[in-house]
Amino acid sequence: MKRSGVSVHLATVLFILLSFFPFFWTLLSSLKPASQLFQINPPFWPQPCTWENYRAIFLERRFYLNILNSVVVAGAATGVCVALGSLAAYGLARLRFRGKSIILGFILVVSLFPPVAIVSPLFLLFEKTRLINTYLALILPYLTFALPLTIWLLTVFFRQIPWELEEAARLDGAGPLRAFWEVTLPLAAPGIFTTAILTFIYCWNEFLFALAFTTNDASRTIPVAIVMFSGYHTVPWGQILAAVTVVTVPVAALVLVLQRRIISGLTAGAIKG
Amino acid sequence: MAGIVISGLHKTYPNGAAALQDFHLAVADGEFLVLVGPSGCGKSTVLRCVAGLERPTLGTISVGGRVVNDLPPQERDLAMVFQTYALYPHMTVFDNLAFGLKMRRRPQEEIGKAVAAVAEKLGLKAHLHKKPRELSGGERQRVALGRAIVRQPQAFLMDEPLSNLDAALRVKMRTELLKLQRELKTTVLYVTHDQTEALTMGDRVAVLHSGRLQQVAPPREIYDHPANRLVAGFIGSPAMNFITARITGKGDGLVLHLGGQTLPLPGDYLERRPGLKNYQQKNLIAGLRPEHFLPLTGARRGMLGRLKIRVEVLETLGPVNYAHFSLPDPLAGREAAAWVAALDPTVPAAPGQDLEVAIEPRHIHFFDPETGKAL
Repeated sequence: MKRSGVSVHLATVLFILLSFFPFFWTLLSSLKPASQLFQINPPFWPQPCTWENYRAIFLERRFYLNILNSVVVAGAATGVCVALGSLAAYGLARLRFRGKSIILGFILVVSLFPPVAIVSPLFLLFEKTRLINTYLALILPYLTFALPLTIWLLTVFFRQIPWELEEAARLDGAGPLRAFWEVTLPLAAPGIFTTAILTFIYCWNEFLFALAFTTNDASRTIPVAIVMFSGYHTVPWGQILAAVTVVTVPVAALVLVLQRRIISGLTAGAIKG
Repeated sequence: MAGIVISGLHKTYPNGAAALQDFHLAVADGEFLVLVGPSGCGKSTVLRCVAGLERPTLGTISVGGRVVNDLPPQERDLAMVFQTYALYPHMTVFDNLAFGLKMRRRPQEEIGKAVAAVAEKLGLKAHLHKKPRELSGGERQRVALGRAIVRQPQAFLMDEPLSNLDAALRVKMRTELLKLQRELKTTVLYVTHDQTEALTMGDRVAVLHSGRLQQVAPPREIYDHPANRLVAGFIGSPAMNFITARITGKGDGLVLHLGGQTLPLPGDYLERRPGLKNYQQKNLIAGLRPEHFLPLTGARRGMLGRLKIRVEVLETLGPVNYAHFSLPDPLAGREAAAWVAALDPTVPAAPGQDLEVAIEPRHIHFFDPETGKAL
């Protein structure tokens, strides 16, 4: 028993090291001067440690604009997604009506379209409506892909909340929306956090639409901006690594801060509360 | 406080299942009325229709003289206690109790006072800051009651509020709940499947079976004079024994045939039970409660009814022994009817033993074999 416990711990440590190492190496490399990056046997620790790459992306490339774009697009898409998704999911979980499973199936089908297949028509549409290079051009397609997932996840969460709690609230004098707001929503919070995080990460990392619907540096989101760092003759690896470090940290921090809620969200219903 | 009047209530679910048919019931102001019936009889549907959680297909419901059919639940001013308590898990006991007053936008100060008063009355003062999951079953039950009381609604609706408690606590809460109701003089419509609760708690008892109201009467009357075979079989524990019987003869030769045996009846029996007049020489259903088997001793030796039985199983409960036996039922064309007799522990009885017990003819209930109506 004891021995197996030790080996499980060892395996866990090894797994964490292995999965963490690439990120760690990115961080170290972003702090190295260009000369050390291209050595045959690069040193493990940066010597000397330099902030040159960070200075370059923020002051020369105005990378903060891209971060801002990503925050706005991902934030807005997540906000709208959770607001609309929770209402839709609530209806699907609570109401009895004809064709409910057809609607749920239809919602799922929407998310099954390969993005590549709809890039061109969407581009034409956004060009006609002059949405290219605006936030809306990204928020709208992100919503269509993130909403189905949100609705499905939240429908499951709302189903787990006893109907009687809302009925009790109704008899206590709350209207339907008030009962939803005061009783159901707080209880669904773990589920809402989980879906919000998943949606945010999806929007934060999305590449294809962002590449297609933005045409100048100032309106690009992070993933596209990083790719665009490369010129015809040079690939500025140091700056790319610095940018990757900068954008990974907030997402990692977000997940770490909210991890307890996410875990309780993902495992809700596994054990009866 | 106000009475509840339900008239002509029908409820048919979208799948065509009729949960309630032509249901009439009036709960008087300040009355404790228990609606009892086996599970699936539609009793919860009645409660949910009154609460406004479900829409009746037909019929009107009024509370305190005001028709509430078209009012949403929050405007009916009723409080409901759920079987699962339905306490808000993310709120403290205080917030649970205060929720109804908060929704009605009462001033903070008044809410604080009202909650404190109810907490004091129900012994919840020490728990006000706790979340429901930190409470025991009995305490949760009390919070659920408190949440209903604190608002001083027109009437209470209770949906099997005690059935999630363990047996000892249930008996204790039964009396506590009654005391509370007497004190508050509130109208209560109480739903349960437990006939003991019905008999011990209700000012009146309404028996519901397959969506139809069978009888509404005070507990004693329900027990002594059940309106039909369904009520007779449901109320009382162990249940009433039934068998097909037939009355023949005249005057002093009047006899009752049941279970292949013959019991003499007093000559004036038919005068005292006029309902039986048209049933001579015909099959009818005889019912006898287990507690109406008497030991064949002393003064009772000369009594009229005697039944020979063979004990099959004997359950010894302490104050009483339940003797299970079977009686052949030739008139119904079936093998045998399973009967139970509650015998005084002083009566010597053992499995396999032949026994003679006495029956007082006035204790026998008769029912029409087709309609089940009491005769």
